[in-house]
Amino acid sequence: MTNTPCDDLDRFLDDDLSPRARMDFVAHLAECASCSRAVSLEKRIDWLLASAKMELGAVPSSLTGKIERELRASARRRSFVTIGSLAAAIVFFLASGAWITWNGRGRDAAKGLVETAAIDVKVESQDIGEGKGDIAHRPAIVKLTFNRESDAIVIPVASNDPTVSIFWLYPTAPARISSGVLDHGNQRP
Amino acid sequence: MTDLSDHVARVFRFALRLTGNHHEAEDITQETLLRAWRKRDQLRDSAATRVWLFRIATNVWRDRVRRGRHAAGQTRPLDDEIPSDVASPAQTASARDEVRRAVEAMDSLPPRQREVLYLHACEELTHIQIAESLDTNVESVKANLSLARKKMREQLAALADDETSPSHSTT
Repeated sequence: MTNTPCDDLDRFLDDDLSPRARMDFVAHLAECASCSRAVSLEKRIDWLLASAKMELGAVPSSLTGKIERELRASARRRSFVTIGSLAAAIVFFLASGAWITWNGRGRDAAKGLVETAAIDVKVESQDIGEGKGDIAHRPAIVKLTFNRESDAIVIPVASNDPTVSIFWLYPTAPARISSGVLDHGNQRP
Repeated sequence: MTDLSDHVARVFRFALRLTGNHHEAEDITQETLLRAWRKRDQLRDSAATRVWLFRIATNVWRDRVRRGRHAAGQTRPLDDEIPSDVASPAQTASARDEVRRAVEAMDSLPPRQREVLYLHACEELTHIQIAESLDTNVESVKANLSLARKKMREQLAALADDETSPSHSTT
């Protein structure tokens, strides 16, 4: 809270007064030696510090060059990391391809395994809703049988469509990624 | 873009006010410029580069204080900072002495008051810019600036007596 005109000194120095309040303070300066002296001294101090700023630029001569070298080195390191990451990614993909090829599990081989797994699945369903509407909408028990027990783990998944049963097949061998979707309305054995 | 040496000089002078130590000011300047370069994508407005750099320097300094990696010390006397041959030819010895006294008075202030006064008087930043640079609020800036001014006037009261001297004209 402002009690006396002298309390506006800082706001005057900050040019933070309204035009009217500023005019009042200027009028006050003519009457108050203390504030007048403070304003005068403050202007002088500001000028001296501004002068000091111009001359305090005595930065160590080696500093700019040193920082410039660091910035260049940092840029080189960043480029190296980027190129290195790209190279690592390329090597990874090449190595992955080589590994898959070497293991006989290239694209075609993998596709064959998935197809084979699908073929090897025996699907049976037992209609338990005889006489209750269209065959495509009757409840049924679906039984999946794999020729080899180690081929996959089968987990039934909830389906929003009553005519569609969904099973996730989790392969127990690499490259056997598949999901079984059995439309028991259309694929009844 | 402003020349790198301009940024280095500004950050160094500010770092000197933060640390009161030449060697540490060099380290902070270097780290500030490197951090700024790494984060340059974050700078949306190139006009705000100065405030942005000051803020990074403040953070670098705070990190060092937190880790206890800073060396205690005061800024060297002005003579060590300004070789006599770089002073303005027009500057008289007495004016030079006044500049020295003003800087010494500023450097004797408590840290936050010193930082605020430096950014206000030497870098001519607004209160808002100072608050951004020091990661504080405008009210704190105003309060610290008021205290700093009062102490400066007390320390440099003798200058007011020389106001009428022609050699001290500010025009």
